[in-house]
Amino acid sequence: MIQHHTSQDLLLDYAAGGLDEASSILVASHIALCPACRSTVAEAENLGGALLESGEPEAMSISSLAKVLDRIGMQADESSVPKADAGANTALTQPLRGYVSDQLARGGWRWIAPGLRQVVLTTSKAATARLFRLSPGTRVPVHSHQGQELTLVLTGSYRDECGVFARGDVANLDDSVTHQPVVSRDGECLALAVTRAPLRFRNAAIRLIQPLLGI
Amino acid sequence: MRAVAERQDRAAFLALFRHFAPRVKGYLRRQGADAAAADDLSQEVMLKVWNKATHFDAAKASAATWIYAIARNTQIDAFRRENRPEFDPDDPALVRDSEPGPDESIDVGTRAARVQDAVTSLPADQALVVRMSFFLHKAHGDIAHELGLPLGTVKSRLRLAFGRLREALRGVKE
Repeated sequence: MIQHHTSQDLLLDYAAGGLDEASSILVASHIALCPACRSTVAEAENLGGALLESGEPEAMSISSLAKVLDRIGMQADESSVPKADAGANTALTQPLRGYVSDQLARGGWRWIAPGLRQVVLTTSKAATARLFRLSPGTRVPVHSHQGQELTLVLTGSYRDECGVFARGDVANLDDSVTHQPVVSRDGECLALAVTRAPLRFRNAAIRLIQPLLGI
Repeated sequence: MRAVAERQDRAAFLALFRHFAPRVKGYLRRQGADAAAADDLSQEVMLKVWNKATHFDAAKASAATWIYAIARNTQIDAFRRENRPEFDPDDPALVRDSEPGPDESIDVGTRAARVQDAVTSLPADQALVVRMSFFLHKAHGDIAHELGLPLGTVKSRLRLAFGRLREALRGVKE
């Protein structure tokens, strides 16, 4: 049962198509795991539908219909979306699989700190999405955030000042929160984090080497 | 739309094309596409409508809402050259619905009409931010910047508009 949801603002922005790619991966993954937020997005899309319906139409070119009908006639089965196969890794959601398999093929997990590895996903520059893999019991150094950070837990769980976060839960942190996530000892924690600016670590030594670590 | 979804009915598709293709084109034009690009992309959208028709579920969305989502994603792919991450109803990781969706005792046509009413009767300030967000795909921060409003005001107008829509969809006051 999901305890921590994404904000309604974020769901509305996702439904409207205004959200950057990295944040959209996170929202698309959360709504795969959270029926309540999925239904909010579906409701919000009605706003777009109503605008489309009442919007000013613009005449299509004369040949357009014939072109579309031609293409319908020609294609065998042009389903462009790769389907999740039955043996797919269900720790990940479908919106993530494409990004992650690309990245892992290119280099795999990068060591950041004891018990902490990451893969940065290739998205548009507006925000950065990274997948963190945290060993059981890991204590992440105390840090705060510049701007907004969103974290979605995919497997395992962690606890911090805001509560316990498990599969499907989203932490929405801004610069007012300084926290130290501690991973549950029961298992590895896989989490997707989206940031618009680097984290701020309290420890000056970590801040110094931050650019080298790529966090 | 149902005839296309259930029987791959071409005559029904023609009717859909005549109604929606020009609306999709208008939508794309307002986002800055030139006439030729908007025409091509609208064809793309209508082709997807045909191809994905079996996924259409009239209990969940009106044809306009469903086609809007396809047009939005096509636009993001083409103009921003970004992938649009979308949840997949066939995802083995998907957590199924346990709660009821929109009130299914309300007839689909009635619901669409109510949504239309709710959207056309929005106060001007709310209607404007909804338009900028859902029709022009502007991020909330950019809308605030363009209108010279605090971000919180933009968000609260969107929330209010969405609240009205929800009332219309569910037929109850929240």
